[in-house]
Amino acid sequence: MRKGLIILGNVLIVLAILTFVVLYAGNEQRRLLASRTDAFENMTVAMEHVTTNYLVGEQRVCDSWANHINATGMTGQEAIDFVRTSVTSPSIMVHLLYTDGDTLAGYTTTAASGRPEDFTVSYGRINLFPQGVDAFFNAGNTVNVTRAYTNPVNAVQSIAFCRPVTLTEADGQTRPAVLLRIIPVSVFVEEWVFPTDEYEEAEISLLDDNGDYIISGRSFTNSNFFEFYQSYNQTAPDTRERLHSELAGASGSLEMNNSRGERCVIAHTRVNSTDDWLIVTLIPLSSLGRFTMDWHLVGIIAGGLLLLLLLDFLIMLQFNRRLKVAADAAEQANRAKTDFLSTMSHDIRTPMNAIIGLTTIAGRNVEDPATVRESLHKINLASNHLLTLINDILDISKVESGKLNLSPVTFSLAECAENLVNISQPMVKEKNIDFNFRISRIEHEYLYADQLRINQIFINLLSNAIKYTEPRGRVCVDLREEPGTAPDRVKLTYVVADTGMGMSPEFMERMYQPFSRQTDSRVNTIQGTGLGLAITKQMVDLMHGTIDCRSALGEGTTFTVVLEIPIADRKTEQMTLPEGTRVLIADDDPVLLETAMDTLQSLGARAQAVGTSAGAVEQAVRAKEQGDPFQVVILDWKMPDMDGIRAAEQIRSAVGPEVPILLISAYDQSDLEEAAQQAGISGFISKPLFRSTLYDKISELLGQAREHADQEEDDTDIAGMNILVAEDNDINWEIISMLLQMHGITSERAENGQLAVDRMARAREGEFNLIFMDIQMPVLNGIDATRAIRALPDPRAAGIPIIAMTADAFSENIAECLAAGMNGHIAKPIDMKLVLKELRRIRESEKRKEGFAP
Amino acid sequence: MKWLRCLLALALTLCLTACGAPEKKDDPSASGVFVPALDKDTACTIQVVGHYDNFEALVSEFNLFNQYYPNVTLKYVKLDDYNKSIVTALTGSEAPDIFFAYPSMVIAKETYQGLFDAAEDLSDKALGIDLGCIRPGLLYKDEQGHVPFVPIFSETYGMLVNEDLFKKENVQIPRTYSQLTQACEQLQKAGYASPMMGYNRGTFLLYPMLHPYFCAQIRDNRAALDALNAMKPEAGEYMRSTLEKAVDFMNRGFIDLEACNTLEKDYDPVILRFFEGDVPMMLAKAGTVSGTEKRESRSEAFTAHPFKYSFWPVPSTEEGSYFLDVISLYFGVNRNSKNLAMANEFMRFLVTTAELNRMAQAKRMVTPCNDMSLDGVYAAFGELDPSRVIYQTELGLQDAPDVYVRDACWRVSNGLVTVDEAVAGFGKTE
Repeated sequence: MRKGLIILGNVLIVLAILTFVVLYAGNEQRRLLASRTDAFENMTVAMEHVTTNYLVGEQRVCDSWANHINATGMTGQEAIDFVRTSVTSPSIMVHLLYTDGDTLAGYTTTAASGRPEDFTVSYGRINLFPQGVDAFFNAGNTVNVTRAYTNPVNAVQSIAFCRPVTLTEADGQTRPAVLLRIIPVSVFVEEWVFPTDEYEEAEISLLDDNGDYIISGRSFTNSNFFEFYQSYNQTAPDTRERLHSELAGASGSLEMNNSRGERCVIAHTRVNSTDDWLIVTLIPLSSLGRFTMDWHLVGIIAGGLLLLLLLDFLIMLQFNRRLKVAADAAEQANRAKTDFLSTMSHDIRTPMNAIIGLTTIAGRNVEDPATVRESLHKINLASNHLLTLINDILDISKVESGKLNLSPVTFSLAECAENLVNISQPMVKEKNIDFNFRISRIEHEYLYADQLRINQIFINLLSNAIKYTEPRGRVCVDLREEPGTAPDRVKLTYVVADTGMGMSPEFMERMYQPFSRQTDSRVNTIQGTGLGLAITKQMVDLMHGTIDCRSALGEGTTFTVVLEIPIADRKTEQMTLPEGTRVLIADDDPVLLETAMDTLQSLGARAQAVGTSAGAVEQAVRAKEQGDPFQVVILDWKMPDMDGIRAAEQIRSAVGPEVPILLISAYDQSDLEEAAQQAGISGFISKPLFRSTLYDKISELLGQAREHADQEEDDTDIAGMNILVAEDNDINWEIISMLLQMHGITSERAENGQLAVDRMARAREGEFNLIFMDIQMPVLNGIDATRAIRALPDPRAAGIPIIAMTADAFSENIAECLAAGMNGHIAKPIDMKLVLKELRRIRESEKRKEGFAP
Repeated sequence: MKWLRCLLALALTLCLTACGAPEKKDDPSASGVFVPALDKDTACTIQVVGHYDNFEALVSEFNLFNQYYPNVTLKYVKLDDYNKSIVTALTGSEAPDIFFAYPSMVIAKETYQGLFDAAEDLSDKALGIDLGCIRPGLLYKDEQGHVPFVPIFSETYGMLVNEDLFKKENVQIPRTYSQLTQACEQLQKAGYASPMMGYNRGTFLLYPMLHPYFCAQIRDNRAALDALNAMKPEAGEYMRSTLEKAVDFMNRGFIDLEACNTLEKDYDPVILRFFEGDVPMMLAKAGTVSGTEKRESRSEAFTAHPFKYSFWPVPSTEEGSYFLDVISLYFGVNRNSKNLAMANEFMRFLVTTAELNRMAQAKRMVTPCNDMSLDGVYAAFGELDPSRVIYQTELGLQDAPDVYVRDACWRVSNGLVTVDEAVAGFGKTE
């Protein structure tokens, strides 16, 4: 839906709610107003009762006087004297007017101001009875009261209660007259107020049938109510008649504007006692309705809704912005995927092309063993490159999809370093590279981290350094330990420095991006996926470490990785040499010497270090002469003054054949073995010199060490093992069975997990040494099969070692296998070295069990 | 983000509508005219008495004054038999604070001495009343130079003109006497039997045309004025030209006396007859014109067929018309008022060009102010040259000769007496 439509919809909803609120509130107001108006009308009717009672009361007084005058036949003077004595309030005046003349005139109880002796009064210019006196009294009203008029005696606005009287003249003649009991309007008004504070703004007026005010409230302007209405309201020619008709009817109310333009409610009711009189009350509508409509509430609701709408829009905008970012990212990802597939297609096809082509060449030259050997060698190289490429692709895809999880395990840093050295040696040797691996202050050999990923980081950086270093160049690895941020952690710094071709600053900016390779004619001859650094960076980030690179074209590159890793709970086994073991170590590397000295001393040895071969010979001789000969001498092979073999020869000749001499090899001692044997070298020790490495070698020489023989080429220890291979794929089965057979190992196949479980359930004791378990198999997968085997009732069958052998090579797959009860994991394609290593590990474990067996 | 701005504006408008204070209308203080001098919380009642049945224009001023003094109750009360009762009322127990006064009361000062005795001197500088806004010719000062009363409205005489009718008949509204007779002829030919009408009871009829004309004849003739005021019989000759003008006009047959006699009073009947729409010109005084606006809605004929009308001076000479500027109403302040300070404060508020003009416009009367921002209906009077304006106060013609001249004109107009008889009768009857 378009944004505009959504906004319009929201605005319409808000407007609809506001309209509803206003309409509802308005309706409530009208309802309450109607209710208040009804109450006001009722109050007006109540006022009518009060008014009637007052008027009737006053009229009765007037009537009683008139009745007395009529009954006693008084003259005018006598009558006025009589009422003068009867009047109790100074504000009340009585007039006695003859009605048989042209003008109304007569007597007053109070003299006019300035004429104290004059008690006469004339109403000649006051039209008090517009319809005539007779008509006034013949109306049949209970109360006969005049309109408010100006009292001609004191000019005070007054009303008069009237009663006709008959006066007797001195000559005995009678004259008609009218008695007026006159009350100032101000006196009347004081008593004529609404009894409740609720209507304090209400005003009241008394009207005659023509709408003329008898008494008018303040807001009732004009002389006539109809005039009042017409002056301030829209009128039509018949307005007066309609208004008159309405007021003449039953009690009720109407609305009109007053002189201030305020809307007012006018309630009206007839005064029963006077027939043609009306009580009309007025109250501003705002006074009646002010409490009903809470405009603040409406305002708050409106504001709240608008705020909500605004918030809604802002959130929508925010979402849209995020969606756009996500869409851009998706588009970018799609582009990246296309680029990736394109690159992959190229990178995979290249080694595949080599494999297929070389296979064809080998096939056509079966009779030529040299060509076949050469082709197979190249096929092997291409296959390994393809495997590396696939592994890297899997890793990078895992990393980029965010699904790469770390699977920490306890691992040996020494083994890790050994592995690094072993892996790198072939190429180091091939390129004749000056390789140096130094460790410094490694206090904790066992750490707890994802060993696989740490190995990946270390190997990637080291293999890159070796790959991109020219023959006879130099590659240095430094591994050092420092205290971590917590007592149970160490900061491991891994530095790989080479004197290779180096990198340009431009390439360094994008070197961590996948498939980034430097454009250089020299690089093009070197195989690489362009994924190694990207993976390494992601791994380091994942482990919250840092990776730093310094490089210059033609000068070399230095990568520094810093990782903070927890120390494993597993303690380094107690390694103590016999007390006071005298050890001499000679090396031209002061760092190595310092580290080795620390290590030897911590092992309990009395060690001495020298920086030259000559020095070593001299020290050995001197110790012998002093009667405190060295029990072990460790010599570096490559020393500036004299190589280790010559130094060994001199020591042997000087101190005799007893003292064991170890030669610190340059990682691969195979070329030195013959010369070393002739020089009387007792053994080799490889860099880096870990605590365990030194301990194992020295202990071995002193006759207390574990037996460690290089058994890689000797299969006698594992020959004769019988393995159950759970594998559904025929080719895979064929390959593993053939490879095992090459090492004298027999195997039996189970085509799926269930068959493997069944076979183990009926296996004889010791029939199988272990199981290689594929994971993805029909009927029952490897994980469930392992669980089933572990659940077998026969403890021997249930405890058989199970090694996963699967193409599921991710760390979480390994973790899942281990969690299911497996003892190890070997990824496909199979590296036979790893298989043999696992087999030896299991074999040794069996031997230890047998040794401990009762 | 236009929608956002619109939304915020709408929200702001709604909030302001919901929470805003009501607008204060017609606030004179906005122009700096009136600044209250008393405590604004003063509570009292001010009563204005007079003889008008209705005085909406004054009530409007009450409402405006209440914006400054909300606790002051102002009320207008009509007194019966005003001329007589006002003197009593001023010394009574419920004495008014402000009262009406009329030119006749000023002229007959002896009779109304009580008014003068009770009246505050409104020229007292301490009161701060701006008498300078009043046309000097209208301001009355006693022998001591005191100003007991302030003019509120001015009265004048003229004719209501149905402008739409003139337009329809393609007749120019007359500005000279000959144009008047010519227009009447044209209208008669167009079928209007009585192009001009007027109230013919109570000696009025041609008074709006002849009275200003007569005043103009004598205004610069001191001897004539003295003789007229002295009611010397020979002064009757000063009336002759006026009476002959009456005869001349009546003899042309432009006024249907029978039709005029149907108008029973010079107020409602005159207005409502004019609103019938078939009377081109209706002789009237400003006091009658003041009732026109309110009665528009009461006339079925006017409601059905409204038309544009205005009030014009009646052209009586070839030089044009005269504007006879006569005081219609004075206000005086009772110096014995219980709330004298507030009564004077109200007068200070009222006697300004703005308020007097506002009130005159509301009442549809002529303002007494120098700045004659006349109601639109009086626009023609504003166009007259100042030399054509006659202030009756300055003229000094007393009631007796005035009444006689008026009566003579009416009688001559109605053919009851001849010009000679009327002239000869001056000074010989009461």
